[in-house]
Amino acid sequence: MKPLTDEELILYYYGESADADEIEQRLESSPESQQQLAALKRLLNAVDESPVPERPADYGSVVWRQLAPRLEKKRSLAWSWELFRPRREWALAGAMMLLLVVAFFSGWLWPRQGSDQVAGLSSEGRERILLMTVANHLERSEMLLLELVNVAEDGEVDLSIERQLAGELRDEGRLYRLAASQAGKPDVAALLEQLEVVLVELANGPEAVSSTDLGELRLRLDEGDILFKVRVVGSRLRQETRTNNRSRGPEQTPRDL
Amino acid sequence: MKRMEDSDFELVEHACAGDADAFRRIVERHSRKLFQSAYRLTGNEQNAEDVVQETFLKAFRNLQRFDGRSQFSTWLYRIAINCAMDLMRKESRRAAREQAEDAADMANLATEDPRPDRLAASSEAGRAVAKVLRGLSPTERAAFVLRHFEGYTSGEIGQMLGMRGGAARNAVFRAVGKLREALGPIVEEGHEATHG
Repeated sequence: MKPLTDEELILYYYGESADADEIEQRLESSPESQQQLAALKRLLNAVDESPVPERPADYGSVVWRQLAPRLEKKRSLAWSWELFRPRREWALAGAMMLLLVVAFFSGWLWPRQGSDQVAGLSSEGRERILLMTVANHLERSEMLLLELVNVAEDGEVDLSIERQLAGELRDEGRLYRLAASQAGKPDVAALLEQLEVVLVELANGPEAVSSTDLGELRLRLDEGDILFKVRVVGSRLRQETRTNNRSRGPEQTPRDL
Repeated sequence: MKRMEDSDFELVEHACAGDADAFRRIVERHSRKLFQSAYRLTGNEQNAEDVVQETFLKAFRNLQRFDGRSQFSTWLYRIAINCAMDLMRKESRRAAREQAEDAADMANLATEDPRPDRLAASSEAGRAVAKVLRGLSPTERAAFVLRHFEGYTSGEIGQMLGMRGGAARNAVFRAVGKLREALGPIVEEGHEATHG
């Protein structure tokens, strides 16, 4: 009978032979194969002797103490993000509001002849909705950009959460850009377009980036002054919303819709 | 009355619901075993510590994706392997430099001064094994560790490493071949010295 090959001996040692009975028969008839198997066992037994440094019984607690602050940082971002999400009970109303914003400013819905009222909202009311929603969008975008600017460069950086948030902001931002453009707000539309480029890059990028890639992304943010513009325009829109609210009459608010 | 230990699955459910203490218990329960495996994979204490941290960090972020179809420890271990493989690949350039030094050391061990008596000291043989393991490619090393120390089959190893079972098997063959080449003479000298 043919002696066993190295591969056959290794598979047999690890219990992965396709036909163990056949291998054993060949072993019995081949002293050479028996010697080779014995040598393989000695070799792999020696491998078992490679030491692994001991860790104390409370090692898990040590790991937890080092890990907890890093988890807290990620969790706080996710939680703070949650604050800006519409609550579940408001999800439908929010979606309707988004649709209305787009519809009003993209010309899908038009005021009745002789009136600028649509669905009980004046043109001022519609603009107020736009200002509020875009201001909120910019505030959330600012949080995301701040996170990118401030995240610690510790080897490879995990951006999985930021990537997901960027995808959501990108989709919303496209609608707001369209609405702002239709509403005669070219400066807001231009900023949303510039922001969209960053959000697309982030949303389509890898979940983990090297510190070099992150540095390049930060550089592009820096060169375009995007964070600064988002902050300034967002602040201006919030201010305009407050001014409009003070001067407006008892008109329907978006939440009344 | 003795309190029953929560299962991993229950702890994961609680952690997903925002219970930080449940995740702390997961970390405390699995850290030591994970460190041992990470050390076998990376061959370096500091790297193993990093792998443990990264593994739990990634597990925390992806906890919602654990569907309970496999054991939690297996799921955790798969994350650890990915972390360790990433780390090993990053260090491959540095390892290449060290490999040349290690190869020289191993040549000394195998030929210049075999001294079987010193091999009776298991710690020394163990260190020699660790050196050879460090000289394996990341894939060979991971496949061998998973097969030899963790007892996974070639098919399972292939799944974990993103390759076919046959390729995983070949990686194990290559690893054993390199171990034999570097350590075989030493082990046999030691065996002959002990058994005459």
